[in-house]
Amino acid sequence: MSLKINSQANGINGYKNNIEAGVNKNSAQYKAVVRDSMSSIMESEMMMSDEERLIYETFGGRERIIQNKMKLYDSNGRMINGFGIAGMDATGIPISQRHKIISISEEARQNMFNETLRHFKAEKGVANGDTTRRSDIFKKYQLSVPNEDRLKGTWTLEQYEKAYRKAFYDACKKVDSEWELGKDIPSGALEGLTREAIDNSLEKAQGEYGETLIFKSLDSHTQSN
Amino acid sequence: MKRLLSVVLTVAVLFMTCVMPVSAAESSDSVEGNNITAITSGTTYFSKITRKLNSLYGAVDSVNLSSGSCLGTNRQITSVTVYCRVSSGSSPFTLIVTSPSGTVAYKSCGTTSTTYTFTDFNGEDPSGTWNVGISSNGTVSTVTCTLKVYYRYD
Repeated sequence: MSLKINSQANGINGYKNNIEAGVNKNSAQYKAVVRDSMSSIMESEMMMSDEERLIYETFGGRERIIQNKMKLYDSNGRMINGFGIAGMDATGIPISQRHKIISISEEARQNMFNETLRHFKAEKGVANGDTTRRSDIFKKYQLSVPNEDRLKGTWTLEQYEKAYRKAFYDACKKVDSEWELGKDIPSGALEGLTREAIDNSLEKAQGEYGETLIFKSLDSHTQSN
Repeated sequence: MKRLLSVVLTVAVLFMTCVMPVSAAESSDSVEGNNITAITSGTTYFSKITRKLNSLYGAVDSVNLSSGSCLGTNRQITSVTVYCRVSSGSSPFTLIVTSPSGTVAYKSCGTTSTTYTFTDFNGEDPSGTWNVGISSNGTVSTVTCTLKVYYRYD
């Protein structure tokens, strides 16, 4: 009996030691967890009964929580979002600091133009969250730029997306003034629309939620010759 | 006489309900499945519920939620709320929300069912896939989340 208890105790201690040995307390991830979650972890521990505390400690306790939470951050201590990308944490950062227009690669803008056009045609202008691939476009862009540019760059790319969608809508209305979202796209309405023509007709402006892109004139984004 | 008057009043109210115009936004918009038949500017929201999320010792449990069809061509989020229905015996936890563009925001949450409001997504287009997750700050947290995204459109 005593041998069995000793082996069980060694097993539990060994398990705990493995967890503590696996945590690099000098890492940016560890420090991020301490910064963001330690007070809540301690609050949780204070609420535990003696029995709950025993179970909690038996299976790793605080160190196990920290080890799991470290996976929420990349090696630089930046939070990773629900789609696996770091550098997109907006918590506590004012809009004035992250809703800025910056330079975006032609490739990223073209990818957004292509997807916005595809979706507009497929759904007759309706924004269908079930079929859009816009999150994939944003993710591809975010992986192509440094962490520090991702929030502003994503906001900028979204402003281009909005401009492309407006251009498609206006083009349909120009061919058929009675056209509405959900109706068949008027024949030829979207032919010849190019990203370059739309981009060249945009200028930076200040909107309610930060910097944005607006059209310089009503006709500047229509079919180019 | 009283009974007759009551019947007359009821009929009158029903008649007025049928002919009185509703608000400008409602009368201009109708959504049937994915077919939006008219655009006006206005404000609206969509609401999605997660399955029961279970987090043990900080391990993240999350789900993707689709916005479904959204109105208008120019949409801007005005507010995001998440109602967390916390199961009895849960530890405090961290709530993590990611928008379709990838913006992520989080909040530290307690052990009682509460609605949390996020302003971090304001101005973004709400259309697409959202991700909602929890990470327990104790032994176990079990939470069902209702995501509500408010936006205006034109």
